[in-house]
Amino acid sequence: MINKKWFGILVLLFAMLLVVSACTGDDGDSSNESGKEKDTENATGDKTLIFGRGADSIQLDPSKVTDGESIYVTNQIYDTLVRYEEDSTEVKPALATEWTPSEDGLTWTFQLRDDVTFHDGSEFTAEDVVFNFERWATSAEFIYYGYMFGASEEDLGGIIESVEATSDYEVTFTLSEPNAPFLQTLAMPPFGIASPEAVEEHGEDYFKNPIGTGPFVFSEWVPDDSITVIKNEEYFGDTAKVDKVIFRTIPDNGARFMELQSGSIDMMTGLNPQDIQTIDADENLQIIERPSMNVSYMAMNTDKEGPLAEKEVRQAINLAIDKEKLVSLYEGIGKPAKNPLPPSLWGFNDDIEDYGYDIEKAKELLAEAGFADGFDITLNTFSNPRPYMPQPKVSAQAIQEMLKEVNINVEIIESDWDTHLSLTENGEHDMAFLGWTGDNGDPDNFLYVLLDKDNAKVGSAGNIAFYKNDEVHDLLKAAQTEMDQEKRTELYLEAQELIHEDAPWFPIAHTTPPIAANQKVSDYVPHSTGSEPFNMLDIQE
Amino acid sequence: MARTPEPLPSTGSGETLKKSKPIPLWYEAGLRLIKSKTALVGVIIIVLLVLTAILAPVIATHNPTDQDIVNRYQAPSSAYLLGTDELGRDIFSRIVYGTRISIQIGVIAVGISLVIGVFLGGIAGYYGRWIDQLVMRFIDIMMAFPSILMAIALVAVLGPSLQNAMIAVGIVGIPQFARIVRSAVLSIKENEYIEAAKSIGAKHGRILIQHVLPNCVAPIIVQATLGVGTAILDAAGLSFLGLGAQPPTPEWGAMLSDGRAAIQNAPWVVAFPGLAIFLVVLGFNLFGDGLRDALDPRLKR
Amino acid sequence: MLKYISKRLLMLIPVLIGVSIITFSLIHLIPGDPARSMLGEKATEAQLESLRQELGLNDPYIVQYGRFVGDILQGDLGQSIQSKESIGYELLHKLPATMELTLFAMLLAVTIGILAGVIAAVKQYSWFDNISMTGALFGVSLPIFWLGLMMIWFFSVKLNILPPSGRLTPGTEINTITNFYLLDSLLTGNFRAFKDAFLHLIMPGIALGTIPMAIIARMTRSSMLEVMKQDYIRTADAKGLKTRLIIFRHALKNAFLPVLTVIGLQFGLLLGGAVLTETIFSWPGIGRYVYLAVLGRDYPVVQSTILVVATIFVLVNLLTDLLYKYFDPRIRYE
Repeated sequence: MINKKWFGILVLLFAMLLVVSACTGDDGDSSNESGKEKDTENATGDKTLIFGRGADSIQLDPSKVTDGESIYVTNQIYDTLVRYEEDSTEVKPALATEWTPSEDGLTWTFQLRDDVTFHDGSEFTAEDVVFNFERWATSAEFIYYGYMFGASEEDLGGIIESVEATSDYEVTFTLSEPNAPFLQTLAMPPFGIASPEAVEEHGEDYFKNPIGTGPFVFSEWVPDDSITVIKNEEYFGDTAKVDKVIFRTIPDNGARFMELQSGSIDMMTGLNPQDIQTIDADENLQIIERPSMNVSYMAMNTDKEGPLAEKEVRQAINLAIDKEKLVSLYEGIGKPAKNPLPPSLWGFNDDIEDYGYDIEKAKELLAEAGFADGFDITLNTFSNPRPYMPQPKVSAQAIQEMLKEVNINVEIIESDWDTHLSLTENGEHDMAFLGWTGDNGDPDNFLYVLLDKDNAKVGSAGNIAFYKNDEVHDLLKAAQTEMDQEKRTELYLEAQELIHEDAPWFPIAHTTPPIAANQKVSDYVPHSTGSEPFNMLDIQE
Repeated sequence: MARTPEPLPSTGSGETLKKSKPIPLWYEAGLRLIKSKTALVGVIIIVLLVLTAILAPVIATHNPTDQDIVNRYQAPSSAYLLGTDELGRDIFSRIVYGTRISIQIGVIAVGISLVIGVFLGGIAGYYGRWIDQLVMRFIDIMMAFPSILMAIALVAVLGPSLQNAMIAVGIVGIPQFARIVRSAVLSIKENEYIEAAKSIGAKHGRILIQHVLPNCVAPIIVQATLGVGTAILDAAGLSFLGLGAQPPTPEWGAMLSDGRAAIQNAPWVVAFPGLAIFLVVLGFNLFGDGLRDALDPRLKR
Repeated sequence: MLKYISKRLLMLIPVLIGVSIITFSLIHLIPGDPARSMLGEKATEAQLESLRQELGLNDPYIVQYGRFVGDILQGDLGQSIQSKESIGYELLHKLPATMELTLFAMLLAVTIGILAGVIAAVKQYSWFDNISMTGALFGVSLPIFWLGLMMIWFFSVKLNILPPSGRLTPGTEINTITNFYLLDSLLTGNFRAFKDAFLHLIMPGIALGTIPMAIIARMTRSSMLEVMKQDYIRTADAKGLKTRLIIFRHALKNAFLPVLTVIGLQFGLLLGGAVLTETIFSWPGIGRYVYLAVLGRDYPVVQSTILVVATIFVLVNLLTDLLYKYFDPRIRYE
């Protein structure tokens, strides 16, 4: 009895102490140093990389998804015909060793490797490539295919007229029109080649049993918890340095970071910008920056009647927001943007001068447009951080406050990511945040998708400013079918001038999304397209 | 956070209010309340809360929505009593203005539960038979959902906003009131003076409003006081999940949620709004407890 | 008794029908497009439309409701839009996580709550009574999401002695049998996993268990006080039996009844409270599952999970009532 009583008392005291200590603790001491170096509890003794991220993959069949978290894993399991160089979007051989386009750009011939086997042991041949392309071209579910090759419900094949196995290790593509980014596109991870046998065997469940040729073999998937892949000893390229990679889902950014600090994960994405200083101060951790090939922006719906239909108003908004201050919220991972294109991409127009922060001029322009007294407007934002916008809600609140200066009264509407997308694609917004990460390193992938009138269709708009300028459209169309890069550059430079003047966007920033890692992780080179195979990465014990 | 505010006479034979003469009861109750130290603490907290809300512009050192991005995440100091948040806003001033929101949440949400709950419980208890059956089955169905889940589902339907969070929390609180009022009405309606009113031909509605309900006031007041605490807690929970107050409203749950990202470097952004919620809820719980003890003669000390 | 049980079971039917109607209609009023969530940001309208057809999202509500109930009666809880997994299968994995957490929290709440309540009642007005009842009052007033975050900050960030999230440290091997990790690790004699799982349970368990602990402590105290005032205790006392015996044989037994009701209610409510706790601690249970589903507009998941939780809650309450009846012979039912 006595013991029990004391136990009860102790527990209660403990509970209260907890409350008290939580409120009074001060930030000064760093008593946690000692606890940090937990040894990697590694049951098997192999080199295991544990990668923490915010969301689980949706499917491990890259032809069925567009989300980064799925692609991240499929990029380990599958190979594409060609791959991007480690540090650029130039292509290098992968499943294909050589390729030749015809004079008119309509026929492409690829020589394939003859020493590749799928993870299920079947051999890789030209027929397998044909099988994959035919599978893709007969289903409307492959969004990237439709989008990159102009396929639609009515025309499932798009610009690809035929894919033929011209020998055991040679495939020939016939296109219906020249397509400048074609080769770059084939290097995109969604076009990973799957084992036909596995696809046929598993049918509907194939996405849970992925079989490719990549540097890692799929091993286990515990939904919402982890995905495990193991080293492919037979890989035709550089065999992986680590034996096993576990992708672990930890939704909360802060919690994930604490796992990194405690050593229970080795690497993570989705870092809160605030935690960057903590990493700088911690000798066990490092930041690896993903090269920038993205843009975040606030689109202004030019289709809506009212102030935003006026060019002067849109320019005034560009002038009234203090971009430097706004981007300082990115805590060093973002640089202010002046163009829709990221500066790392060819075709970027560096001669354009950004609007700058000038309240007086903004007020003049507003008065000119007849809005001297300001107006009410909504700004749509989303709740989940994106790589190009780590703190959407906070950024929205900052803009809300800044526009007050010119009497523009902003109401913030926050939705989750999916709802935000359907709202904006339907054009239900006034102003809205969004961003884009380049898929293939071609300016077309930014300018045509995000600002051409072809993509300003209500219901499926990529151009959510609903910006329609025929001159811009002609330039972008011409650049699509032109094969000479210098001429294409000229066209893109001119298009950017026009876009700057019309100001359908307030461009915000280009980010270098940080990846936080333990110091023992080495030789990791993140790719600008958002994912990369982990075969070169190593862990120093 | 989802919880039942304290012992319900679950067997339904409410015996809390056997006495029919209200005056001495209230008198005694008042005396007991004054003597209770815990209730006094509760009253002090509530009075401070109301005063802070009224005098917010005087007490606050900054405008609660003014940003100073350069000075974000400042630690508590003489310039910023409780530090600054992710946009450099003064947390102390935001908490001060947040008292207004909390009072609003408490009053409106409990108002909704009270009006609908008293109505449902009143007619169920008084008319009995099929009305009672119908109402109580409905209440049973509502109570089959854990309250926070129900509130989340409601807000998901109505859309996330402070107003809708208040409505959701209000709806979730209805069954408590309905059950309490029903059992109180059941125990009162057999009393002689009700019978007397009936025999001289008074209308049902009139009896219900003039004679029955006034005698249920005690448990309703207790439940309402405790309910305010619960409502503030639940609404803060919804805001924490992003389903309640929207920016730049200085609602405490939302402040706490926004500050989560910085818990390592700026724990004050999370600590103080939570402490504010805790204190206010504590105040209402203390006062509600005191009231219950005071109004319930069985616990006479 | 049997008659009573069957009567109570019959009474469940209208409640469960009501629950299914409410769940169904709530979810169908939610704005947002499930087809969009499924296909992602680059889908075309045509692709979306064909998916809507496939899922039957264009049918009249009454038809959809009929299908909903029909499927459930056949044990089919539908398919998740986001993961494409059968919801029954997913719940089977997530329910044990929530149950383990809930039971652990309840265990904390009941043992500490009852113990503190009994001692406080026996030693009324003692310092223990005062402190524990003040603590209990604090407990019912705490926002548990705040308590959770503060614990993480203190025990994980500052002291680094408890893991901040999840059920197990990644890489820890465990053979799952029941998916209750504590049980599984014990059954397989894997003590390292047991310790790890236990450490992961502590903070979420405290966060979730605080409110019921406080409520149970207060309830136990007041119902003990009530019982101790009654004549038979006084009689027993007068007869000179040892005081402790009186308390535990008689008083506690009778005082337990109202406490039992509260435990039943709290248990169900913990399932709801798990939404916040699991969100904060990244606990892979149904609370987080349903919250993510609400955010992701995963209609079928929200529907089925809420329905399952409500059904469990209803059953737990029924069980409580039956136990009440069993323990309290004074109550007679026709």
